[in-house]
Amino acid sequence: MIAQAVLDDAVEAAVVDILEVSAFEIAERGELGPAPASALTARLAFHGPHAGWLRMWIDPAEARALASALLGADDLEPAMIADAVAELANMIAGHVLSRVFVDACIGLDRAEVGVELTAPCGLVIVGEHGRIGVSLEVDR
Amino acid sequence: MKVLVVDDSAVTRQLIRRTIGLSGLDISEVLEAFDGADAIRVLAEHGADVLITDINMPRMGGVELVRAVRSDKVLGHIPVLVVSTDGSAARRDVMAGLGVTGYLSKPFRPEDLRRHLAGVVGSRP
Repeated sequence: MIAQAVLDDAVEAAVVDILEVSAFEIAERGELGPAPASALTARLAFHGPHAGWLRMWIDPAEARALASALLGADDLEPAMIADAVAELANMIAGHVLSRVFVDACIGLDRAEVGVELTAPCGLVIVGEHGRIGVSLEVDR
Repeated sequence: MKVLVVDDSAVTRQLIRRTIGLSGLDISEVLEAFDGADAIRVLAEHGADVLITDINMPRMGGVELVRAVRSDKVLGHIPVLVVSTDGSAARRDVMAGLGVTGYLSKPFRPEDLRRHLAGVVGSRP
């Protein structure tokens, strides 16, 4: 079983890279803390030779900034922001799993947005517009 | 030239469409599909000269879509560019074995997509 610290480092690298490439943002690891009540949430399952979950929350301002950067527009429907949050979860999971399990084909389910997160996330990344909490856990 | 973009994320489809629009490449029409099954329907109705597809999608994923396209007498030779969060060596090998023309990992810079697409368009039979 891979150490959680290795996964956390890979998640940090993934979020920093995704925000830089997709939104021209500089981001860094921040202090752990609970998700704010206004946070947008997502959960994504992966399966195959390695299976598990990614859970995520994101401050609404950060989600809007990411969606705006991806779409090149400021006037965004809530559904497009939710889709950007789902795609962020997808990119984080894919980025991490591709690098940690190089020789495995792992399937990603479509991210569910607006889920209830029953436990705090193990990592917090601070972007230029808000925070992102992420946990990626491998069951096998 | 007609390009079909297949991805279950509307944001990603829009990002790819916008990048194509700014690319300066000779692409006159961009079609969209939500997943592989939707892509099969769009291809049957409208055809396409180039296919850009994600891997992980509902109903029919990119692997099954490329297999279906490659086994089709009419569409079997169209260039296929994979744009996916799955950048693993194992997945790249699988897709290379299916004869995809290019592979780009998400997140991508618009210039990366333009360069890959230019190569794919250039390889069109």
